[in-house]
Amino acid sequence: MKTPTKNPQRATRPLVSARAHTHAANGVVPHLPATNTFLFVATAAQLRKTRATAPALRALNAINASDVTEHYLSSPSDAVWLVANVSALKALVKHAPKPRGDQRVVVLDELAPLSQVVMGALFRRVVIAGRAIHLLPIVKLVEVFSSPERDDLFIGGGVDAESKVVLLYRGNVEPLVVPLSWFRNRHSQALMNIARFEIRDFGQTVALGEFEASADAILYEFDDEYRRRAKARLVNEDASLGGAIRRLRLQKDLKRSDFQGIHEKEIARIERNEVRKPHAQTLSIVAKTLGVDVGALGSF
Amino acid sequence: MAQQFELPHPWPSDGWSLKIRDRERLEPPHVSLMRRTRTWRFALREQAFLDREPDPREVPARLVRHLISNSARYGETWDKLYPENPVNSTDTPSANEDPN
Repeated sequence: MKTPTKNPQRATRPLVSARAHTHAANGVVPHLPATNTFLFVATAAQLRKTRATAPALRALNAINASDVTEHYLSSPSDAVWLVANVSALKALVKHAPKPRGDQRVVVLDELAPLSQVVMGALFRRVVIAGRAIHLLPIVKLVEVFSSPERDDLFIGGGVDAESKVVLLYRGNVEPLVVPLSWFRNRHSQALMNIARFEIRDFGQTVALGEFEASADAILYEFDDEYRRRAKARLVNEDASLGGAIRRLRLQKDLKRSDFQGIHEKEIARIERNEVRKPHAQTLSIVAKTLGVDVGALGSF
Repeated sequence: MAQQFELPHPWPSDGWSLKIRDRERLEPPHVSLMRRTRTWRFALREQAFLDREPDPREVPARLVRHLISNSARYGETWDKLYPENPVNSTDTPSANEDPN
């Protein structure tokens, strides 16, 4: 992802002024919560190219590479950095200021191992594109970072075949680990290929070759907070325990006859809310079969 | 495999796409109408949008009509991918229970 430049000095001259015009009105970046600041570190050439295709770039603060250290020290403690020009980080590595706050960084280029260690000391989260971690193209990353829904979108990740897990990074640069076994549908004809991990649809789809999973389905199952918000968005929310059990059973690809010790008709009655107060032992079996805590059953 | 359905002009060039992926949130059956970073879930049983957000009113009326007129085709695809939870299921919750 390196952009060759004949004159690095010139290439890293003051960049845009996205900051100037996005902050012009009232100091608040459009569409972004005031608590987050996004910093985009790029060469002038990278910036021109990105600006041409990503109108959303105006919502990010583009900064001069020579000012990286200063910005690191003066930015809000929860700033998120998107670094396209890895050479700009040299100053930060060299000066290694005192780590501060909750800053996160996404590096779009390969970084020397020692620099990675320094980055790990300076930032709470470090995501570096490489052979193991695949990120969205820069234009789409910018779009995701500029989206109010960015926490619920994925920016990249990779597959650990040995541990059989998929590592995903969200738009707030928080990681999420999902068992590889979750990515299956015995009725799908899609050829799954873990070597072809890819994020599609602006962070809304995780692909393993032809096989596609929705970010919504992943987050609904693995993030309690997302699930709570997703349920609140429903036009017709069914808050019943029976509805939750039915949803979870279907999501886990189980039949009503899969609950050992409980007749399938009883499960059907529970799902239809015909059992006013299911027995504690019954709920315990239901929860164990569905792989969740009893207390969490109603949240699905 | 995941199904991406064709949308008529000008919706694709305007950034709209329509999919049923290999793993979706299963209940209720739906298609995902996507535009850039946002998704509108359109229920195949009720032929209505499932979520308040993003605002369904942001979807052009002509595109909604297209979804409705093609929902039988989408339903066939859904049923192939998720036969345990078919669109026209008799195994759905009772009439008193909301299908969500």
